[in-house]
Amino acid sequence: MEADRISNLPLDLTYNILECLPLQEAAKTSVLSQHWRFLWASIPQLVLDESFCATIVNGKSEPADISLRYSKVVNSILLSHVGPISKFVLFVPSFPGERYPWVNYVFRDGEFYPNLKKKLPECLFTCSGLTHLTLIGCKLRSLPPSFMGFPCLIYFKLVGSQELSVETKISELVKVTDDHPLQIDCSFTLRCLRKVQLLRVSGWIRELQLIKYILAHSPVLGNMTNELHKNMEVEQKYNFALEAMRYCRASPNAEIIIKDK
Amino acid sequence: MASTSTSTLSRKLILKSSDGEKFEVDENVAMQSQTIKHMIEDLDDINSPIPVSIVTGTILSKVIEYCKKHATEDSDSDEQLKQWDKEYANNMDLNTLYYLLLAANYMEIKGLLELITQCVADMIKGKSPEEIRAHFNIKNDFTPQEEANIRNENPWAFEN
Repeated sequence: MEADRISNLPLDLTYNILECLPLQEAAKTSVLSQHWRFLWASIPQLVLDESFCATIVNGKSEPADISLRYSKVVNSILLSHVGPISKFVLFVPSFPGERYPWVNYVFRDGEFYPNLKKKLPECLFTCSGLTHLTLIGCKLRSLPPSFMGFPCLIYFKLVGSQELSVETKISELVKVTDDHPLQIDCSFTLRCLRKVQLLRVSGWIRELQLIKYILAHSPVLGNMTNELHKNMEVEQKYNFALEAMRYCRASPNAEIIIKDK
Repeated sequence: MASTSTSTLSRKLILKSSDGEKFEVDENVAMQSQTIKHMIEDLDDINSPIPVSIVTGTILSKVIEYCKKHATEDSDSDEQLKQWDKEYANNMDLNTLYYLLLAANYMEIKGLLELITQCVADMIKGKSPEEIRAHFNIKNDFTPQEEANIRNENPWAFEN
């Protein structure tokens, strides 16, 4: 009988293989043998994307069922994950009137800690080892005061929700620059960030704050793409562009691209 | 020192496997490996064999076959190259894949590493745990009770 080669691979090669698999298939390996028991739960690239969501909620059609089931699974994955995370992708489905608690855990240096806060992104801001971060449909909040930056982050992508945010108001745009004038910050909390993609931007105040923050804190930023939500009105688009162009850029090479779909 | 005017032609390098087999290859073929690339930068005499210390001759010849194909990419379209990669990987048994994976990792050949990794992942994909164990000869060292407990921890992984 041939020897069991795959269980004797170096750890990083095993992770590479598991990362080529959809997460559900990777998790299945936990039952192979003692050796495989926790390997899937320590992969550095955690991809919970739309297709992952689709396999988890397969067969469910009620928004309430989908939301509850998916949030339960995501929470259990985050709870079981051990070790640092370099790439994190999270898709959050959105339904009108949704009332279910979402991800309830914070992670610090790649480790997850239970947290009582209900909304998602804040918990992300303490994970300092991330190099790639993608958030799809998550609700943005203002940066927590404790935010120390993502010193390793190279790539950041944010996809806004399908529906145009009801909170988008032209008047809100004006407030952004006035609330606290942000200058280039020498702490460079995003010192490796090179590429940013913000999709379905609707000109919401939190988005502008984020753009402003990123531009002021990323000394090597190459380009930032803002793809505007298709339902934005012309005046909103114009105001958005005016506003975004004003922000100080820490990187002399930063290119801001505004795409109108 | 007499210099031969080979600047426009590709230089030849000699790679030596762990079991002493020697392979003469074009420099651009060998340069697919980052490890070798770094080694020859530090080398005074490129005529002496370069030791590839953890790779056997059998495996090294397979690695070189891959590097040759990918060093002359202008002759094939991307599609043809992908097809070639697929056939190349499908012709390997598990043992060979294992050593190729270690070799690609050691020699830092990104394309080969990704190809073999994906190939192994594809062998896992779509199989039940029992089938995966049988395919890779993995010994199940759980008691039935332990196995049931793990399945219960992450039921979503074992549905459908």
